[in-house]
Amino acid sequence: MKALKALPARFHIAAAVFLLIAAAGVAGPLAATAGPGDLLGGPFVPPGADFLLGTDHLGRSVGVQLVHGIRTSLYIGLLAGVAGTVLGVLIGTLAGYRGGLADEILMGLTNIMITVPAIIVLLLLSISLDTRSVTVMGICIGAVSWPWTARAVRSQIASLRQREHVDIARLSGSRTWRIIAVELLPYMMSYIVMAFVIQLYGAILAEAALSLLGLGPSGTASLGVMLHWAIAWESIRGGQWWVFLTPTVFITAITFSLLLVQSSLDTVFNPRLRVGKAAR
Amino acid sequence: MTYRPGRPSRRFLLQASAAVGAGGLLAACTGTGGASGTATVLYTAGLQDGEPANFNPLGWTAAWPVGNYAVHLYETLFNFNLLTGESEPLLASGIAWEGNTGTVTLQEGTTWQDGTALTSADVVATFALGDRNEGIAYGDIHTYVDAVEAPDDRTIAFTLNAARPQRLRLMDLLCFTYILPKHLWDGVADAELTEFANTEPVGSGPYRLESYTHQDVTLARHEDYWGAAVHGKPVPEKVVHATYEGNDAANLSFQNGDIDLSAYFLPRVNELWEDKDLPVKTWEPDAPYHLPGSIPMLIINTTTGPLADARVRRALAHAIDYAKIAESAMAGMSDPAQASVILPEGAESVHFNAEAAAAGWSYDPAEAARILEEEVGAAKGDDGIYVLPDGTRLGPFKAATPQGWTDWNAALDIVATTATAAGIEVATEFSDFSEVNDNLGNGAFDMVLWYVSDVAPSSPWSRIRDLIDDRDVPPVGEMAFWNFGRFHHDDVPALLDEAATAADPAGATAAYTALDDIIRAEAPAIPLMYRPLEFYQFSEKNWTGFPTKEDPYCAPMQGMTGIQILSKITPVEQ
Repeated sequence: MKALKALPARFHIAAAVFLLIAAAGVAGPLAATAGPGDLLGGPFVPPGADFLLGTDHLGRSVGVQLVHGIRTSLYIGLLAGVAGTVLGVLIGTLAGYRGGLADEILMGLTNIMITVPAIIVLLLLSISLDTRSVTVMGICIGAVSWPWTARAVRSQIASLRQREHVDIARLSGSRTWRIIAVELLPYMMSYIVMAFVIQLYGAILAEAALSLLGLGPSGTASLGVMLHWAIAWESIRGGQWWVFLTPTVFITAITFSLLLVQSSLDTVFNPRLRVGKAAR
Repeated sequence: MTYRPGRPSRRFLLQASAAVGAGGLLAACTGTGGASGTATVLYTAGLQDGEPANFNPLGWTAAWPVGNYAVHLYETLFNFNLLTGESEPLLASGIAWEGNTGTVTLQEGTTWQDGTALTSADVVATFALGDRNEGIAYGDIHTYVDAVEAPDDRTIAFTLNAARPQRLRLMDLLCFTYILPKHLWDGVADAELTEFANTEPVGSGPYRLESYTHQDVTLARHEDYWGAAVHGKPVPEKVVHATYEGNDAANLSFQNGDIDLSAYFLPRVNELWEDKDLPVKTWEPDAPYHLPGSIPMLIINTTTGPLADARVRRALAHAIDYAKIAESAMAGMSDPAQASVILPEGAESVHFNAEAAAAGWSYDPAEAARILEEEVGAAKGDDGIYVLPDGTRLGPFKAATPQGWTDWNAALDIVATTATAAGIEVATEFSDFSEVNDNLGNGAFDMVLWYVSDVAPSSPWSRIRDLIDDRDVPPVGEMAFWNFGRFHHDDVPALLDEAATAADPAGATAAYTALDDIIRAEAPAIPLMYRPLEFYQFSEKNWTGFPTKEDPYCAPMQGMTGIQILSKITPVEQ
């Protein structure tokens, strides 16, 4: 509780915004009386009494699509975030703790992955895979987003393992996995949490980018897919602002609130950024 | 993508570059239209994407005005009229049949743009090109034509194969094959015929290729056009076809008045005159705004699974909301598709049997349920999807079409939604064009939304053949080029031959109706909507006198008889 109070006000605002949107994504699809694919009205009905956020080119409710889209985006984000973070921490820890040849090989691989632009790998993956399910997409995004986490974790582990308590654990005969799990990782938790938040919003943006290009999950509403059809049906030229503005605003709100949460956490966890203390 | 009023318009830039290209001062003094004086340049768009690669009519990648049915530069013997179904005279003045021999007579005075006379020798040489290189599209001419001969300078005799006297297919050939100058193409090596870039094309048409860049193709009027007396002298001194990155950029340009005549898919086109008060029109001011010219078909694989059962396919046909597809997916630019593979308007309308079509399927989920429950004996599962008596669940069936064909994608989305709601689960799958094309040819699909034979002299014969004739169609696993669903019906071949050789239109119509009845009974393919051959919207800001349904002097398009637009339009007094 004390730690929460130490957090700046923007953290609370950002967290509240994110939780509200997430709640809409979880509760909305359950509460909605119609599915995202249901053809409810005429094409491009403006927002009004019948449709709070209007309808799209097929006469589907933008509001219903939005809550389903948030759910899809969060699901992909969580899946990719967990996958990316776990992979990154695993590879970074192994490289940093083992050192030597293992370090060389793993970091070589990491550096290669960093130099290859993730979006291109994702594009190629999306085109070559037969299935376009949401889960596969989440895993693909996670599979290309781990390198930065791995590099950061590796450098931290490499310095942590020089500490005395690690030496003592090693001398007392602890196994490698126990040392990593008990002696090293707890010191890294703050960093891992922040890395996870970065992965989460990175993955939501990656999904939006892929779907915008028409490579999104098929048969499912997602924020990126909504944007794709908004552009394909020229709603910007046609002036149907509700169709493209809705997903844009929510993608921005989700990623921006997550970014604020992450940077606020950083000011608490990172001693150099701590506010109100003459630490420097 | 956003409109910035401060920037010079595309029209201005194009004019500037055209003026510079034409030699600076002179062109600038005569004025190329726009803000000062009256227009002398017609700006078109929609038929050429990206930088022109070549202008070779024998290859497969020729840039506008070669291909796209355009007859600005190269001309064909006959010009197919989409409205009447007539093959109108172009280079030829007519064709006279005597048994299996059709004798084509050339118009008087036909001349190439370099001044050489265009004679029957050029026509014979053109059709002989197929023998010199097998990559040429009409190389299969000898399957139904025995001989092409020139008895004299002005006539050409086409002798049909007595075993397959296909006059319809010959008329396709005469309407869509560009006649090329023998004296120039004789100099091209056989292997080069399809590869030759032909960047200085010499045709017989009213326009010459002046210049081309990655942004536009510019045609200049050929002042000594042989057909000025017969076909009329074109009015615009230049025709500039602008190329765009995509639909939205092109449509924005059109909306801003930078383009006079556009063939882009422009959803909700009526908003331009209803809401924005722009001087924009299409073929007709009310929905569907365009003249239908093709029928996107939901082709069903009739070889495996529950869809091999004609009753299930017919139930599916009753579970598709055609009105919704016309309203939403086609943005109102189509009438709801009827249960017929013959177009109800334009050239094919003589063969369209409205009564028979009305007796076919329509959107009626209750009827779909009745067929499945009473005829098939299926029962609805807990998830709302029917299960056949043998335990097979109806779906999920994959409905595929290429990604990025927005109206086709939307139509399939509607099929998936309404069919699933009616108890036949359909899921859409939008992927790369070549992937869909391969799967279709090899029979590796459940259903695919695809294009089948546009309006042509031979339609609807060619369309029906492409849908249900299984003669020469390889089995699933090998590449087929028509009848992708591998549909078989014993009566089809005889009826098709009857339609092709019928003595009068009424006889052909009877055969077509019988064939259409087979399709209505067995639903191997379901028409989803009508699409124009070319979208056609024009702006009267700079030019007036374009054909409309009120003034239908030619078909609403840039190609084929649309060439007549150029001699009928007049510049607007500015």
